[in-house]
Amino acid sequence: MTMQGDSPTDEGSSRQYTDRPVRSRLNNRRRFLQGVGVTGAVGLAGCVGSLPGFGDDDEPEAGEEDLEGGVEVDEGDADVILRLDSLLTGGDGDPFEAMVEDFNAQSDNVAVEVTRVPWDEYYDQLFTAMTADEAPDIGFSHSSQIVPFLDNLTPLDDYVDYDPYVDQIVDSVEYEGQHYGAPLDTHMAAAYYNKEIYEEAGLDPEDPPSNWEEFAEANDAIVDAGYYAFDYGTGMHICRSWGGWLRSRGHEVIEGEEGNWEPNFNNEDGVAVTEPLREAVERDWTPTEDDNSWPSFVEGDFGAVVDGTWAWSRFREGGGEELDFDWGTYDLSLAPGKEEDWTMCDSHNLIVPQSDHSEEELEGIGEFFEYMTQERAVDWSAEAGHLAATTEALGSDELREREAWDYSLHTFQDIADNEELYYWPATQNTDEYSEAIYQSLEAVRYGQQDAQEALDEAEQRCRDIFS
Amino acid sequence: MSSVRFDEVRKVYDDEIVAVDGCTLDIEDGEFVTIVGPSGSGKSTLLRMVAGLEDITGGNLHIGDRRVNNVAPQNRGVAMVFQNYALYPHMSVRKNMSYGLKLTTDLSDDEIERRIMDAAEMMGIEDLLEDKPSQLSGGQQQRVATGRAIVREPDVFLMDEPLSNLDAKLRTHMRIELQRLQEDLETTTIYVTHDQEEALTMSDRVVILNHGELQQVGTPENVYHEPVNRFVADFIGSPSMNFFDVELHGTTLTGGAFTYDLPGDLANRIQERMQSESLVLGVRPEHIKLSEPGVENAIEAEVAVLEPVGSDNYVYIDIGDLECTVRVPGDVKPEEGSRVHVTFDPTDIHLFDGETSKNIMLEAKQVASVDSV
Amino acid sequence: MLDLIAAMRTEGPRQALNLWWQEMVDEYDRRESAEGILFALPYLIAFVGFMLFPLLYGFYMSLYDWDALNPEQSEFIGLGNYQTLVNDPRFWEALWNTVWFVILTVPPLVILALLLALGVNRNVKGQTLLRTIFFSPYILTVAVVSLIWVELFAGEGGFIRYWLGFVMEDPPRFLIDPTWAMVSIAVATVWWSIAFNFIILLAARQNVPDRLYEAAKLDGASSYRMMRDITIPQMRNPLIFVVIITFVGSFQVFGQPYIMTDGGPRFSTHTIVMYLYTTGFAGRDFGYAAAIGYVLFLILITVSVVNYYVLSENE
Repeated sequence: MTMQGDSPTDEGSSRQYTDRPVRSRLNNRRRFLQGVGVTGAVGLAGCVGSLPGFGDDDEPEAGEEDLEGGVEVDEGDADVILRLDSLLTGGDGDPFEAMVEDFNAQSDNVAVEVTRVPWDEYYDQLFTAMTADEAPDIGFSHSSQIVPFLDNLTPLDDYVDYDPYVDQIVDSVEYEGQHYGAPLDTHMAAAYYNKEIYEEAGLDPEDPPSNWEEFAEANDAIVDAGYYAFDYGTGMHICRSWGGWLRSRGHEVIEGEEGNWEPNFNNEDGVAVTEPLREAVERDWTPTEDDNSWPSFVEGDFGAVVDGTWAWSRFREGGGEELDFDWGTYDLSLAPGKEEDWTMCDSHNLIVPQSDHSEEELEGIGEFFEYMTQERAVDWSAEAGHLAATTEALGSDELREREAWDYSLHTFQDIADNEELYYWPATQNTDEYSEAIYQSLEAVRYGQQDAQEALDEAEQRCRDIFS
Repeated sequence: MSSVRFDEVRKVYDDEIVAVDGCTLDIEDGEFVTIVGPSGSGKSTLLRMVAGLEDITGGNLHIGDRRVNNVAPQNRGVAMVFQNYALYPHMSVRKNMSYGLKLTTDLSDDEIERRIMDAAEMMGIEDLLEDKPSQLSGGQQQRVATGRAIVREPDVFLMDEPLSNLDAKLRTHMRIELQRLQEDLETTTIYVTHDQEEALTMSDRVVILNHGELQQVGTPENVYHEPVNRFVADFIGSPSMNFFDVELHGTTLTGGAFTYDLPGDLANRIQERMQSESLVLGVRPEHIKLSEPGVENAIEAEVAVLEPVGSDNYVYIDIGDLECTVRVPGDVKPEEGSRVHVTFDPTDIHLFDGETSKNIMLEAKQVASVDSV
Repeated sequence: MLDLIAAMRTEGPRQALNLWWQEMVDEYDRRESAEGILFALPYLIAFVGFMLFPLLYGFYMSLYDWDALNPEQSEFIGLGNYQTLVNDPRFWEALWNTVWFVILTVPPLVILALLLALGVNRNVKGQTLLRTIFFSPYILTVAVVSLIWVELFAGEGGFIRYWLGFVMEDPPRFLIDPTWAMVSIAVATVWWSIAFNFIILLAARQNVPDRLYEAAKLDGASSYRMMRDITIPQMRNPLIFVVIITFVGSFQVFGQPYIMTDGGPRFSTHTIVMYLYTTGFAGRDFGYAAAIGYVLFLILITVSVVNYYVLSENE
């Protein structure tokens, strides 16, 4: 039995960023289950049990076949052999590794070996390896996840030239004047929309909404045409639109610095961007629960859903089969009464999780990082679908000629050009405070609490976490 | 006190396995009857049908005047002593004994206590009343189990191999105690055992069962001296009766390696009653004597093994190819390997029909005794 | 312990416990000889390495503001973590959620398993089949079980909600309703793990000698009295075992809420072990996580001892 993931091969990477895919992903089989009853469900256990990657963890995305990959290097191929543990699997794992192979081929004395690690276990595993002094030479970290590791990362300023990167992107790995990661990309949430449904609903598929009024109007039209219109998702997905919207109305979700964070969302603006979560259900844009987001979008039941840049690599990998209709993307910056445009994003960064490397090794690392994140920025962007992190790549015609441009990259390019990139504040407890917020936001969506109650509760929880 | 009457009682398991086949038997009030038989003979089934632990497939069972086929166990007026005692492990001796009384009677606590003390005194277990069964020896547990039956003051005691878990010495001792107890209480007792010695020593009458069928019912003397068939003859008595395949020619019994002349009139009567040519000659070991050669009917044999058992010796001898056991007084010690002669009295022999296994001699002798009157 | 459980299946619980205890005693007697120690060494090493050391080290960690990446920089704070714990609303919330789960699962897991065992024991003919049916969920992994029940409890077109729709208006959305989420997880848990208790209790029941029931029948005991006066007292030790094991298991619930609800909605299924995990691996606060673990350990010890004494009171 194969099942479509509704989440990327890696996005967010920590499990909280995947918002319980289990509940939503099973949707397609449910009608069948109604027919066959419980015995059928029990019988299905066999199929479910054979899902790839179904070990102790709950995220089926990181399937075993996704882990078949990596780059092997023979002893003696190079003077400096560097070990890299990668959280990129599936759709963006292959292009990444192809680039590593290219690097190994063109480098005289440095070779990089890549091992895939299930992304949902990545940070636990990296952390455990670091406590045991078994960390790889090179690791990955999302900007949002980097804080707990900072004390044990090697600052890279002496080995990597940071000028080529887009400022907003590179700021997300800068702490106390030093850079701790080399940004491979930036990836943000966007609305993925079905152009055919747009047309059917009498909307212009080439002119997607750009503010709340247009957005609401379009959604109502889609509902009238007999489809679900838009789904915010649940779990961390909710924060992807909500966080950007809050920022658009002038508030960072939390304020302060490590050791002294304060929630900053329980206010008029917070309420204003929280209420639409319930509104979407009340206006029938989406069902109460998120049973039907990505899989249903794929099935053609949804006008638009929130997803990330990784959707592109999935589309490319499937040879266009997964989304066999005309689709596009538009910027999620749609907050009611927005003052500015902001869109939530995150970056993949290459990091060096231990500090006892030789100078030669560090120079090799620097060479590798620059190759991957600067020289090949266009390729990475075009193949994996994430947005390149260098100014040069972003402005290049080369990128505009690639297939991904028209589908999704152009949207992301605009976001970057407008300097709308909003990085969710990274703290020692990012996952914890994020969860405190999205559990309350879910309650609003489900109609269990009104926006004010929910934000009160979330604020209290955040204070408990930060205290 | 009650009589127990079996009338064509049958037990069939799963519509095919016949455990008890048409058993008819009257047990009188106050009688001590032992049911004996090999494993699988149906003796326990018979007892459990009386107890109400097994349904009765056919026939009628009466305790006293009452037909009890469909009466619940606790209402039959029976108490049972189980082979493994079946004491409630988590209850004290006192509770074990009082449990049935509390459930089935409305006796006052004082009355129950009095009964328990009486029974405990009878069984000599007054000091054990607060103990748990696991703290007791096998003999003590046996006494408690018996005591638990006594307090019920039943009409009928049912005992299912109650002594088989005890060692030999204790078993002999308890045997006597149970007999005395039964004599004191005069309660009708049905006692199941596979041990023919217990059956012979304890009971007023013995019931011998094989393959679910009654073989013989009689006093211990009766079944010992006058077994109705070869099975009973073989089962009762230790060591077992010697058997030889023989044929009767004229007045002479011919075995493989010996001949034996019968008195003429006896031979005639046997001739009249035998249904096949082949007969089986049976002689108990204690009825064979060592003798001088030349004595009438003396048979030559070789001593194979001499086995002293205290007061007596068992001599295992070979008559040609046939093996034979002889029981002689302890001071008679023929040497192993020596040639001896043995003889036995015609009044002590049994002749079984080769086909029906019936004791022809018994009938012949009965006729003889009638004749001689 | 595994041997003990294996023996329980083959020998029956009472016998198995006896044998096990006998082995312990014998082991003690043999201790004098050097060979004996040698034979015990592999186990001892495993025990010290994987049980005793982590246990003690966990306590040691719980006294520090533990820095897992640089343990030498950990700061000793004595009982500080425990003090924080007492005033930590998230801890109390998780503890209460866990206790609620225990209340929801332990009685059915014990009583239902007992009734099933007694029922199956009666029905001699279908026993093997029934035993297989009741046992089969137990062989599934927690992930599979959770998936099945996520499916059954799902809000949009889920099996249970779909059929409830015929008898009531707007049935609860089980997994996103704070009132029902934990109940749903409890139902899935009972379905999944009742088999273990069932098998142990069935073996225990079959270990009660038939002659006791025959004796009781002659003593005039009704079915109820036999159950009360013979079955239950005779099954006491396995029952105590089952109750304690079930309490311990339920207090440590993790996989089902982790997969089925991720601790939601609004943290209503966030259990103590989930909190421990979050604190340790998401918050990287291992000293605090160790303290939570120790408090849970103390709770389990207390509950087990209380259970043991309450249940063996009449013995």
